[in-house]
Amino acid sequence: MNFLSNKYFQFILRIVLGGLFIYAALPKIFDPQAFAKAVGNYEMLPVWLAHLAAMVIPYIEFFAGTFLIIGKFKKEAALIISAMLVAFLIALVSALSRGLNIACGCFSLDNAGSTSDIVLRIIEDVLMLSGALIILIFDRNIKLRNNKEIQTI
Amino acid sequence: MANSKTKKILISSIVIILAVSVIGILINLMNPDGLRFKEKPVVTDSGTGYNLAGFRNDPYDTSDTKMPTALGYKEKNRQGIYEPVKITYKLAKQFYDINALFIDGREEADYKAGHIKGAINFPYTEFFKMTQDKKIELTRRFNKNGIIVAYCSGGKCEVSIDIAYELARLGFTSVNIYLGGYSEWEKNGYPVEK
Repeated sequence: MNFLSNKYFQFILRIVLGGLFIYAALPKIFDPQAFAKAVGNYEMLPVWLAHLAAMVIPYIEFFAGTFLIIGKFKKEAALIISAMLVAFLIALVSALSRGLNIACGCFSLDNAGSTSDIVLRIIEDVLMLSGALIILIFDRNIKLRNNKEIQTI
Repeated sequence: MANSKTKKILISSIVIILAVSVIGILINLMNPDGLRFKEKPVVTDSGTGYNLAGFRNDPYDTSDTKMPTALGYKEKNRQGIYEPVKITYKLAKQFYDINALFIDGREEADYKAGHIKGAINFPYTEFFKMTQDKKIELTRRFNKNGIIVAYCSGGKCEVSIDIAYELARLGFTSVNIYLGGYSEWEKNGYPVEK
């Protein structure tokens, strides 16, 4: 498990995952109505809750991604991202099992959905979730050495 | 030690989520086009308030300036456009009967497989790639004040909404969005063309 804790590996992982989240957040921030529509299409939440989710999720994605990249609150960011990815995974699997033919609303907001698209998004979600968990569990930002806290990166 | 560290991460995560959520909500509430907690009531399903009796729409009469006021429901929104109205099949059919212009936002193959009779195809992938000049050129021959109904396949498609807003931004004043789309129209046995 030494490799997973390797600081360069961790650094690259954080840049990639953080970058993906910022990239995913921007279209949603600029077109909240379209994102609300995408959330609503999952038919899982009442309107007000779907709208609340559409208001806050893009900003949480953006800030969590930014924190990961700059390396501040990276454990917190990894935890938040993991929690979001688990929630997205539940939504996607639920949509798939109900046979909903919807756009994911994950990275882009203007594509019509298809079942194969949803399966692809689920795979992406699991990959990103693994990355976030690796950061959460294996990133050693604090080492105890003579009772002093030392940042490795 | 590990335990208090975990607790600390958990607590600061919650604080971050709450703080960022407040930012997101505030930005949306301050943005005139942002989200609100209540969905705007938009779907109209009857002709109430629309004086359609004896009215005949001419989609190609570019000199006409009086049409939307005949319908009596138009006001510019905060973006300075005439907000497209979401309608159900009842009103869509009424508009069809008075010769409204139907715009089909689906891909060409779907359009060719069957569309609302007389509808014109603006495949959304092509339409959204066009430059502003091209869009103006494409829509020049249509009556800016005529009644337009945008639709797509129905169900979960959103293309009709996007195209409707684009047309409203191009200066059309009576744009409607028929959410039921082609599938509902066909199911109702209304006129189609294949």
